[in-house]
Amino acid sequence: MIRDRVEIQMPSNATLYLIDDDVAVSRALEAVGQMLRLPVLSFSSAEQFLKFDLENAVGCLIVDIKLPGMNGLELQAALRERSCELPVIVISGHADVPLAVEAMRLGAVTVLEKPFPLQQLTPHIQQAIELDRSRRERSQQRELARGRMAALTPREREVLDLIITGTTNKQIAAQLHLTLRAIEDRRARLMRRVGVNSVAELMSLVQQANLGEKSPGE
Amino acid sequence: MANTSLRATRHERRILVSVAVLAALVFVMDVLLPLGVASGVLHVGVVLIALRSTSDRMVIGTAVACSLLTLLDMPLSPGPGHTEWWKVIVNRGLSLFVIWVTAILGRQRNRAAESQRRHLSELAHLGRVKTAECLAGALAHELNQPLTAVALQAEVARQRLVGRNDSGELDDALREIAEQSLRASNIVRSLRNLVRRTESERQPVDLRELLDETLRLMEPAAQQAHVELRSQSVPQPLLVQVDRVQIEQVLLNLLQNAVEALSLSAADQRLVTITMNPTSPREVRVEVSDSGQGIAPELTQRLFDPFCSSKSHGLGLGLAISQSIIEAHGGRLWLMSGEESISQKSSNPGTTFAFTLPVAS
Repeated sequence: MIRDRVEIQMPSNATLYLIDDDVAVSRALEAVGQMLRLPVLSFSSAEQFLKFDLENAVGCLIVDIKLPGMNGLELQAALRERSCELPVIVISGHADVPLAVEAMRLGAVTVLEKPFPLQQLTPHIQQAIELDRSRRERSQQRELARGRMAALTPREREVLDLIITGTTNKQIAAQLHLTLRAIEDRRARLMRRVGVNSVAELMSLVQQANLGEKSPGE
Repeated sequence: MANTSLRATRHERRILVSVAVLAALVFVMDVLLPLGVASGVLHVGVVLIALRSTSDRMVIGTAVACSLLTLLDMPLSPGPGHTEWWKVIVNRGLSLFVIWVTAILGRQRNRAAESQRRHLSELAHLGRVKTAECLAGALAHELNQPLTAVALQAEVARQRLVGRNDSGELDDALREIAEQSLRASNIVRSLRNLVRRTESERQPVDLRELLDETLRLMEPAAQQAHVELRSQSVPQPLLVQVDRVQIEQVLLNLLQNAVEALSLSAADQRLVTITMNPTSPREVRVEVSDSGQGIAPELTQRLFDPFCSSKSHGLGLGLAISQSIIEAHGGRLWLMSGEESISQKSSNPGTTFAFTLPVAS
């Protein structure tokens, strides 16, 4: 039989967070985390986890749906309320379709029914951590792009808004009652200020800054 | 099954023989003695024996036979010599009347008893089905946890062995452990799915009527335990869309618990109260209270868990089953704390269970 050692490139600070009230299951999941070379933090209740520094939680959370006190679904809702985007893998002791649907609706990466083979769990952990990483990267890029855009003066911003909607320089000049020359100057200045060399780059910067926000068209 | 039906036929045959012998005796007596209508009374005895049978044919057949014998007696009995003809006819008429009234009333009674028995056995059957369901569910849940741990740990161990020399046999063993623990849990799961498929038939029912029926079933046990059952309800119907037998099972279960909880109380303080009230246009609430010692605080947390019981007998599934039935109907079942309850005014803390059901739309 051919099999490969499960070797995954994980972001250095990603952690596996576990919430399960069954000690044996918790220990087994800890072993899985160690095997994946992930730091593991184990909690016995959802309330305990919520007291944790959620803002800096990086990686992925595995939570049992049935817990004493607050259950897995309620925790998912609570995390959403606190706008914590940590990806969640829900594990459940008994196949309850409505509960599983509800967990997915609340944004779970997946719902696994106990017992599940390791081969089923690890890809989901990988996927969740990857999701968390790309989410963080995107939000970092967004912050960066927003920072660059914030440097613009209101007048430059005005021109930028028109460029985005596909207005030509001539039209912009007419609309703002300025000469074509003045518009061209202003446009060159704003591109220098945000540090781009082409309209295409400018457009992608604007897009990055707007990521995660609903545009009026949607 | 075969044994039961054989016993039933033997029982029927014995009744038939007694009926025939007795009818013949009465006939002979009637012919030989100048007793007139008194013989009719003896025929009633024959009909009463026939009523011990559950078959309608036996009862009606006996009544017809007794009637024919009564009429046949008329010319043979020594009556005409001493009595006028009209008296003889009236006597015989009265005799026939008594025979048929006995037969018809007796048959009605038999039927009522039969339907009551069927009802009880239906409830008992549901109880068994629900018990199996609850057992399988609890078993599956309790076993799944350790089996998950076993399967995962075995797989992790296999991963750790990769690259080491001579790990082939160990690897096979570990793989087997992982696979077999998954197999075990699949077996438990399919067992649970098997018993889960209980059909539920919902229809609009007046909850007050359902309570009356349940109280009738409970009354003998309550009397035996010297417990008074008191019910309070509203004058208008409380229509709910439910599976009759299942809700009756819940009521019966709560009533049984309440009656049993009073076994240690003083005889004059054994009271179980059931109240039914609409709490909103869309919900009916039922409360079952007893005047007993209350439930130990350390037990209240686990009260609805399967296998949690304070009794020396029983599996501790009653409340777990009741709760699952009520929740399947879109309601809630819970233990009320002392102050919350409306119906509890005695010095004892007592126990009150309450459940809600959505009103039929």
